[in-house]
Amino acid sequence: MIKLRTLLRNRLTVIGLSIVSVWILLALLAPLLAPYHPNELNPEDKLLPPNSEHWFGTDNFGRDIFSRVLYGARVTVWTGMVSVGIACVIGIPLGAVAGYFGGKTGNLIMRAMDSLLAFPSLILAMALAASIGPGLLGALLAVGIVAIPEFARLMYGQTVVIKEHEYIEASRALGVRHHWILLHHVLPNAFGPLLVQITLGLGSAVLTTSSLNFIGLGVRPPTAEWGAMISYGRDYILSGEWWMTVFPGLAIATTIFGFFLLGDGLRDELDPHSRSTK
Amino acid sequence: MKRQKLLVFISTLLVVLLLAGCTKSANPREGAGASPSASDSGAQSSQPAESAGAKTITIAYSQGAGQTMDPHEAGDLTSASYAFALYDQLVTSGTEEKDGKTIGRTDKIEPSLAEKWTVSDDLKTYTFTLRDGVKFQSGNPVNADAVLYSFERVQTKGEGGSLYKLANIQSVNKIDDRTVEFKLNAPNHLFLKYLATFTFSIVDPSVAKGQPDDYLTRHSAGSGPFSLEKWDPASEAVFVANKNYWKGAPKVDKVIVKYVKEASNRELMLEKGDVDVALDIPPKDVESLKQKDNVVIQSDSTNRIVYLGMNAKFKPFDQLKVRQAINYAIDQQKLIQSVMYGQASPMTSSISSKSPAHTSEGNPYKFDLEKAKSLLKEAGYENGFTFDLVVNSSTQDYEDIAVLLKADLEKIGVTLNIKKVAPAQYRELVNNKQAAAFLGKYTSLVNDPSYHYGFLLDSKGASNYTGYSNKQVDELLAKANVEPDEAKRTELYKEVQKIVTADAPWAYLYESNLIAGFSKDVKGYIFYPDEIIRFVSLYK
Repeated sequence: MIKLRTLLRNRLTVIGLSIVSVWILLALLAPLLAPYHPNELNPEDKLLPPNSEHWFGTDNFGRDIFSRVLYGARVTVWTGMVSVGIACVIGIPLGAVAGYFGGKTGNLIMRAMDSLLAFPSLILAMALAASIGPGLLGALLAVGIVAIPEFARLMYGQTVVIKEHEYIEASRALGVRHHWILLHHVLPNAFGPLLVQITLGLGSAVLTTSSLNFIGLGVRPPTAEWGAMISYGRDYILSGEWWMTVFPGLAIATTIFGFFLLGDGLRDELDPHSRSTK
Repeated sequence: MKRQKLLVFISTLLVVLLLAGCTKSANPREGAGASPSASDSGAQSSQPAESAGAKTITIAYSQGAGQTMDPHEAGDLTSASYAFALYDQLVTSGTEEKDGKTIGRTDKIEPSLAEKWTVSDDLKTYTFTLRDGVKFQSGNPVNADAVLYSFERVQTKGEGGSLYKLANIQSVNKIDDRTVEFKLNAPNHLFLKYLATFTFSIVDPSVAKGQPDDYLTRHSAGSGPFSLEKWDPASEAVFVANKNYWKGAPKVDKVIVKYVKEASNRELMLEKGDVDVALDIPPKDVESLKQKDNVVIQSDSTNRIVYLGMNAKFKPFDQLKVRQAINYAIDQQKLIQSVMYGQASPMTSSISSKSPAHTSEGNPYKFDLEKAKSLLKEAGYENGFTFDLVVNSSTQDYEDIAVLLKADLEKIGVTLNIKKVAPAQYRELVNNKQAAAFLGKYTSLVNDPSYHYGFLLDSKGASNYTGYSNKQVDELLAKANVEPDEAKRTELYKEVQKIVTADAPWAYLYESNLIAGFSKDVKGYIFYPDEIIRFVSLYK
């Protein structure tokens, strides 16, 4: 398992971990921290630049951008986790089965995954979200489905290696059932690389969700979401109201940066290749 | 060894591809143009003309390229503007001088290709005398045969065909080379106004005949002030002036229409002088653009109405009191200020206040949440309800309206879910009357209640998207259609408005302005309330 101390030795990992934890905390505590309700309209205070009352300024309805960014974190963290969850729940078993049993079934599963991978992920997500219909659910499923093949392939690769180990052979000789082997021997041994993939996957999920929301496939207005906020604010860049786009943009950038730093750190620690060199 | 060869091959291939990508026209833009023969000259001549400046007007459009150059097929405002540039009609809309500005009057009819006409006593026969010596751009005369051909052709087209039926035309006959007689099934007081629309443009049979039926979709064959030089629906259309135009040649040599979807791009191009005219300026930028020295902003009230439609076939809108409650929950002033930044006026009836016979009589609605709440209580929705509002994603305004409405409705316990959909999906939902509630807009091309109600609120109306049906209204409309006396007609339409307002199939939102930006040296813009821009008067 992961040794926290060795993990914390890497400074970048620490930074990544703290950014991610800060955002998760902000998301959880948004109702307590936000000075205003995210959808509260205050036409008198519209388009105010950042000031002491509205830290990130206000939009054209006088909504407080700071509060909306905080609430936006909830949507983003939530969609990120659920969609990566979907990808794990479907992708990992598929990859494990394909790798463990191989043969025609394995071939079929992996070629199906390859054909999903052949599409640029954002295009595929757009098509899926559009066909499922507007709304957060569509975006969630789309982002999740797009991430399935990455997990399946990783798990497939791990399983193919792990199943050749002697302890698996031993278990089978003892008559242990396949699903028991998969669950208790293969999965725990693939845990490290999977964790890395989950962390990196969360980063890409945030990006894909924001992109979908930016083009209007996602949350319904007036829900606060970072991508939707940028899309909304882009008409105001020219007229000088930069705060409507810059702050949600920074939020997306830091979150993804955090997840990727953390993922990289975890990989250095857990990846079998890097471990073997130590 | 083999592998090395492969590597060399692949890298050579990559280098070649890279170089190919660097060549100047990896994506040949010309040649994609409408007519291959014209595209070459277009590409060469548009550059010097643009730099010479003075004789070319460039206009940035907002809604894409439009469907067609064919006036008989045209159904959108963009195609309509092409039709007015390329063709003439028998009669045309008038203009008036007001405060030193020329303004278009779609309700005033003036002679065009027809120099005079007579109407029979039973109002069912119109006889037009064509102007002598008018020629198509091909050099052929505009005669009775051309008129007959055009009216035959209109009937075969979807858009034109429906207006042809609306106009009640029974037959079109040639008396002599310069005289044409129209026989109507029933009197129609709008007949001349219909004839002035782009749909009844006169096309040149010598050009159009013998060509495939869709030839006019991408070519022009008219007597109008311009001809089509090049049309690339992805980027631009180029119109060349007709130097022999019978009303006098346009003061410019060329009009270039560019399709620029993003509003901020249109503004930027206008400010930098890349375009001379930019259509559809967002209301929020009107004040800041007015401060600029080189830009003139014109914001005119049109007969465009913006409303919230409620379909009585869906619960809870089957209850009159619920629909009325929604009307009381709408703060028009707030919408006009927050969404339109003052570039709109209140809507007080189901027809625009710029239309004949408009009345705000019998409109009790004003922003009153208490009243709305008590109406809901009477209707049995004391605890409110939840509904989806279908909103077209093409314009930001509608989302803004929806956000504001949602906030107000929340206060009376009603939950509004904003269902923002792409234009195609919007049309599918709304046109098939599958939307319980939606935000809609409408501009009547013929500024008259007969046309307006015939489409929107007659139970058989083609654009009656709320499925509104009231026998009394249908009867009044039918009666008004055949009523020759204008004063009596006006009374009938006032009656219709009162009934519709009381029935509340719509909640009235506002009448929006048409906002266009001009560079300072552009002159001659004439605003028409039908929102269609006419190129012919523009110059600089």
